[in-house]
Amino acid sequence: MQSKHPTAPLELPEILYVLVQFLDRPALLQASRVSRSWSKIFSPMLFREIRYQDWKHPGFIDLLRKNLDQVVCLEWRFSRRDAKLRYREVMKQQQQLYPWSQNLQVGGDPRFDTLSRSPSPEPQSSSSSSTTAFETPHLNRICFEHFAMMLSPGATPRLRLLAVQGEMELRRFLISVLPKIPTLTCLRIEDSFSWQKIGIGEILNACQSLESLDCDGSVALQFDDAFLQTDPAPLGACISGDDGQGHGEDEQGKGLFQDPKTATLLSTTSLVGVPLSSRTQNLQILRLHKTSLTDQDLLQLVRQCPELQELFLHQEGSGGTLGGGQPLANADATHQWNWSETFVTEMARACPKLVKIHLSPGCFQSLPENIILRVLAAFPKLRSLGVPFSQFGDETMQEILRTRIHVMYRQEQPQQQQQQPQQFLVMEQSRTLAPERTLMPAPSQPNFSPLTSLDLMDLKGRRLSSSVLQTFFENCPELLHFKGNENLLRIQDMILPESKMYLDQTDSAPSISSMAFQLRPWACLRLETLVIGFGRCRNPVQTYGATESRACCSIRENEDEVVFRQLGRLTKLRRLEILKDAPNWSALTFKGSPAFSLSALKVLQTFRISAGAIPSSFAMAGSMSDPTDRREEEKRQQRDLALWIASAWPCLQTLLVPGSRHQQRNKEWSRLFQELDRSNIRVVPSEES
Amino acid sequence: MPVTLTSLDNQEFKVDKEVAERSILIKNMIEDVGESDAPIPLPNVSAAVLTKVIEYCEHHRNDPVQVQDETDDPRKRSNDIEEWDMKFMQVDQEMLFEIILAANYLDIKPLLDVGCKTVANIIKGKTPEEIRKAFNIVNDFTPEEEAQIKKENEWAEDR
Repeated sequence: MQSKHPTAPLELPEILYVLVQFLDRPALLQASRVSRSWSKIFSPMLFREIRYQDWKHPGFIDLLRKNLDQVVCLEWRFSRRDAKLRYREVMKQQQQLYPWSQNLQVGGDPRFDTLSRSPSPEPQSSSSSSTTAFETPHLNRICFEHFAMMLSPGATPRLRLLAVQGEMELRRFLISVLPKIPTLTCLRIEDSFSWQKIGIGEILNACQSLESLDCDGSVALQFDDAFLQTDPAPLGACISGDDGQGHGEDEQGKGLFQDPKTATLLSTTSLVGVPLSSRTQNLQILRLHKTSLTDQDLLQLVRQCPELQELFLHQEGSGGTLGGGQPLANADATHQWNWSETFVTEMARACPKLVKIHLSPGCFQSLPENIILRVLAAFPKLRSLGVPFSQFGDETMQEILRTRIHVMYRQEQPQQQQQQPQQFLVMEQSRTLAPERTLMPAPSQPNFSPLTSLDLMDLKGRRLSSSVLQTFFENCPELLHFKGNENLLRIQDMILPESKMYLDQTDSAPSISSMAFQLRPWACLRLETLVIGFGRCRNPVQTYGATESRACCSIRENEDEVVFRQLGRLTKLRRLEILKDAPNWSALTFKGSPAFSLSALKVLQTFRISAGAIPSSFAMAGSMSDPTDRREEEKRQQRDLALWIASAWPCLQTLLVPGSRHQQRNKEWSRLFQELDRSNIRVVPSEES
Repeated sequence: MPVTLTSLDNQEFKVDKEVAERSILIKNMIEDVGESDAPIPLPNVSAAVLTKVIEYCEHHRNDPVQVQDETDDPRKRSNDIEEWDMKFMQVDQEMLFEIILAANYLDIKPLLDVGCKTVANIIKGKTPEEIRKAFNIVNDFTPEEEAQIKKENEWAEDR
C-alpha cells in the first residue's frame, strides 16, 4: 500500500503507541514543535510520564488536568509543610468568599470544588489573585485533597503506574486516591515516613487490578486481619471510598472513618460479598523492603496471590537496628523466618509461577546455604535469584548448573530441540568473533542455565570459588544481571589453563596480533548489569619485588588484556562496576590497546571508574618525580579519558567515582563532560574500592 | 513445509512455515485454514516490502519468543538495535514506513519495534527544523502558534 501522507504510520494509534515508548521527553518535546499535525500527536504524549519535579511548574496542574487521559506513569511527591500551607490558604479563601462556611469540611462542599477547579466566577477584585494564590510559584506541591479531587473516576483511563513519595498520611491518601484509579497496575511507595501502619489488605482491596506492589523501607506494611476475612457479612458494612461523603475530620486528619473495623475495608458496593481471595489474583510482583511479617503471615499472603511471579523481601532483622537498639537475644523472636521444608513447599504450591525470588533476611543474619538449596529445589523454574548477605557457595552454584536446564527455545518444535542450543551458541560466536581470535569451542551439552538474574552482593564467607563461577558464566546465555562481591573472579580463571603462562610474560606490552592466550568465553552475551570484583593471580610486588616495576606493569597489562577482551564481548552492558582490581582504565585512551574493545559497549549507561584510572603508576612514578608534572600528567590523562568516554559511550548517564575525598576530581570530571557537551553525565561518588 | 504468500501485486513468495509464522497474523490464518496448499493473500503488502519482511523473518527465524520483562516500569526502555537489524533498516524513508506498516498489519512485533526504534533514533537529538528536513515535513505553524506551543510545553523542558 502506498503511503499517501509522508508520516502515515505515525498517525496510526497502535504504531504511535509503540513509537512513543522509545522517545524520551526531550525527543517528544522537539517532535511536538515540528508541525501542526505532529504537535497534535506528540504534545499530549508529553503527559505520559509525569515526574516528581514537573509539579513545581506554575500552571502545570491546569495543563495536567486537561491531559489526564494521557497519563500512564505518575510520580507525585507530597510535602506536609506545603500541604498545611495550602490547607490554611484554602480555608482562608473559603472563609473570605463564604463567610458562613466556617464549619464546612474540605472536600465535602461542591461549591468548594468549583472554587478549586476553575477560576472563581465571583466578579471580585480578588478573584484573579485567588486563582494565582492556588498556583503561586513558591508552592511547589499541592495537598493531596486537591490531587484526589483532580482524579475523578475514569479521568485517568491509561494510568498504570503510580509512585508516591513524601511524608503524608499514607493511609488517608490510599483511601482517597486508590479507588479512583481502578486501572492501576503498579504502585510504588517511597520515602513516605508513614507513621501509620498500613495493612496490605487495604491496598490490595482498593486496587483490584494491581499487578505490582513495591514499598520501600519507609512503609511498614502489615498483615491485617481484614485480609483474611472471607465472611461476606462484615463487607456489607463497608463504605465507598469515593469523594468522602461528608465524613467529619479534624485538621489533624484523625481518620475518615470512625469504626476501625469497617475502616479497613474499602470496596465499592459491587464487590460486596466477593471473597477476598479472588481479589488478589492479579498481583504478580511484590516487593517489600521492610516487613515485619512472620512466616505464617507470609504464607497466608502468598496464598492469596497465585499469580505471583516476583517476590522481593527484605526482612527487618529481629527488630534490632544497626544502631544496636535491641539486644541480639531477640534474634529468636517470631519475626525471624525459619524457611523450613514445609514452609518452602507450601510457598511453592501457593505460587507456582514464582520465578524471581530475592531474600534479604536483614542485618545480623545471613541466609545459610541449605536454605538456598531448599528454595532451588522447591522452585525448579526459578529464573532470578537474589540472595545477598547469604552463604551462597559452590554447592549451590553447582546445583544451579546441574538442575536448571534450559530445554528449548520454541515450545512447539521439539524435534529441533537438540540442534537449536548449539546453533544459538555458534551464531553468537560468529557475531562477536574478532578476526584474529579463536575461541574455545562451545560446551557440547545442550543444557544450560536459564537464569536471568543473580544477586550475590555481600556474600558471607568465601564459599564460592572462582573457577565454579567462571563455569557458570560459560553456561548461562540468558543471564542479564549479575551482582557480586569484590573478590569473586580470578583473572587467571578466565583463560585456558594452558595459556596461563601468558600472564607471566614480562616483556614489553603485547600487541593484538601476538596473542597467545585463549579466552574461556562467557556465554552471557546479553548481560546488562555486571557488578563484580576481580582477583589478580599473584602479587607482582611479592613475586618480583618492588624494584621490578616494569615487570609488574607488564603482568598487570596482560591480566588487563584478558579482562578487556572478555568485557568487550558484552555489547549489551548497561551497567559495569568493577569493585576491585579493575583494569587500568587509562588504557582505553591508548591507541591500539586491547582496551579499545570496550568501545563496543554502545548502550553503557552506568560505569564505575576505579581509583586506578588516573594512575600514579609505576611507569609514571619512575619518569616523573616532580609532583607538579605528575599532576599535569594526571590531568591530561583525565581529559583524554573523558574525551574517550564521551565519544565511545553515547548512552552514558552516570559515572561512579569512588572515594568521596576526591571531590575536586569529581568536579573536574563534571567540568570536562560539560566541555564535551555531555553534561547529562552525572558524576556520583561511590564507595572506595 | 513451505507456505505461499501472495502480495498486493499478485507476486508469489514461497517460505518455510516456521519463517512465515513469525507473523502472528499468518500464523493464525494457517491455524484457521488447517492443512492446505492454498496461497495466503496479503493484499496490504506490496512485493518489494514483502521481500524485506521475509528477509527479516528468515534471519530471525530462530530467535526465542520475546518475553516482556519489567513491563511495570516503562521508564527503562532501551533503544539499542542489533547490527544486522541496523543495516537491514538502512532504507529510504518511504520503505521504512512501509515496513513499519507491514509489520503492524502482519503482527510481527520485533520488526515493528525495530522499525519504531529506527524512527525514534532519527527523531532523537534533532531540533524541530532538522526533524522536518529528515521527514520532508512543511512547517505549517504561524509564528504565534509556534511561540504558543513552545510556551505551553515549557514545563517539560527541565529534566
